[in-house]
Amino acid sequence: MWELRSASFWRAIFAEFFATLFYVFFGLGASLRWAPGPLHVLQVALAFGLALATLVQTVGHISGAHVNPAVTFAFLVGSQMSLLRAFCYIAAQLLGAVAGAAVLYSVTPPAVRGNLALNTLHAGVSVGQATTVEIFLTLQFVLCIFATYDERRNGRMGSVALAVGFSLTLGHLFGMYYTGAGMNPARSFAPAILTRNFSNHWVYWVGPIIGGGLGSLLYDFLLFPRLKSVSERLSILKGARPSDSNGQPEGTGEPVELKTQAL
Amino acid sequence: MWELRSIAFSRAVLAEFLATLLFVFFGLGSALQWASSPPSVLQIAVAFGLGIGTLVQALGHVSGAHINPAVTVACLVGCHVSFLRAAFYVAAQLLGAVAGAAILHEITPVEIRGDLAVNALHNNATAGQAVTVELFLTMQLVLCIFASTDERRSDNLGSPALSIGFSVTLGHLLGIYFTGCSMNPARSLAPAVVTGKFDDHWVFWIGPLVGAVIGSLLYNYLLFPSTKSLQERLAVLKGLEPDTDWEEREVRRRQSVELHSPQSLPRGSKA
Repeated sequence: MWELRSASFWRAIFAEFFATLFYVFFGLGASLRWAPGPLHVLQVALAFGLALATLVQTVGHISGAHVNPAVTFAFLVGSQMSLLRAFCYIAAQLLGAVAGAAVLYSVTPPAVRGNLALNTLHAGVSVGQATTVEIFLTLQFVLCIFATYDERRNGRMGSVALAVGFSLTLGHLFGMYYTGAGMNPARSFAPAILTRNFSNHWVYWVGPIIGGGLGSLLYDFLLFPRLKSVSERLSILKGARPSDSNGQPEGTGEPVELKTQAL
Repeated sequence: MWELRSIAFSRAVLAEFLATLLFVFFGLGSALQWASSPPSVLQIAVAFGLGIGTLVQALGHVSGAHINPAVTVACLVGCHVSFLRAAFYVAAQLLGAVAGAAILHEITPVEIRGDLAVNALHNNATAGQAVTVELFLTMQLVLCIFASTDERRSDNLGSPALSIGFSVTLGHLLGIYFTGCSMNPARSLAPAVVTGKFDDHWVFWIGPLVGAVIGSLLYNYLLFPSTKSLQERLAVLKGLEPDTDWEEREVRRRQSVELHSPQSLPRGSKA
């Protein structure tokens, strides 16, 4: 387990914790009922999208800025990170999310807290429908992430952070009406823990994870396949140390950071 | 003190004054309560964010476009600017902000001025809660600025100006509910001076400054530490004249694709 002795590994873990803390703090905070009347969907969608865009910009080059267990799962399915790293990322994300929600809870006046922007199904939406919606929301999101992070693209890519952030905004613009737009098990988990309300909570895990996995398979194996052998994939999953025998260390086991081409 | 004899330094300070004047003018202006159509939170947040984004794009290459004393302090903590430069920048920012607010005050109809969008605690938030929120608002902005302008990065930065501007928008989308959203002591000082309302004013200095320092320490010493020696850091803080000759500086400046200050000091960040 060479990764555990690597400073950049622990820096990446901390970055994921920190980024998810911020994401939940800002996203849920903007979703609270500050004024009477219906929630401004555009405003909340932009808050989540810009939060993620800012965090991708801030820690994308350190940890890949997944900020989302479903995204980490997608990278795992795509054999782009080791099992150990994926596990540590997800643990950091869940802890960071709960920490962010706890900080938000403590700084928010009691009259405004409500259910802390807990994800709930809209009246009339069945769990089957909700799960399908969550799958689609996360599917488009993961496709966008994989395409944007793809180091094989050489064209002028524009801003990685904004592309990813606006993809999330898109999901919220649609999903908020159906499910409150989870798209991120950590985001859904955090207010559920603090309010101890887990009604239909499984929808926000099953949907995003299936969506993330599908997105990964679609992109990496069908739309723009990576030509890696099974043994190469297995060595990445095991976290094999990058070989120094070659002139350039291979990507195997390297931190899953933004490696898109510079403009 | 070679900096004081440098034209580029004077231009940079003037740029900070002008940028902060424009930022406060447009930002506070967008937040005024016009009777015909009061602006929504989203509208105000986008206005502040686009204001910063535009000014970073316009003046980032001249002065680093800090536009914010908290950001200048963060750059100082990260050893990116000298003490002298930091002091002049902060002074220019505060003066520019007050000038912007004064101009806005004069051109706005009396019944619309109100309190000129002065920062204050909202929704029964306590001072402690407000400071904590301001700390988080500014921390994420500072982190985004350092990441967006880090010359060591070789991956795709996209548009630093847009990223930084949207980071400001993000802060406002949450912060407006708590405090009217400062993130910037100059922005808070300006309407306070013009209207004479200084209630809880300390919140808008302590929160942003602490958040900026923590953000700077996190990025520069923990998340993405640089390998500069202590001697090199001290040289930057003292504003020692760079050893490289003018021609080499010129070449380096032309080669840089990123926003950066004209002189070959380590680059200040944008805000």
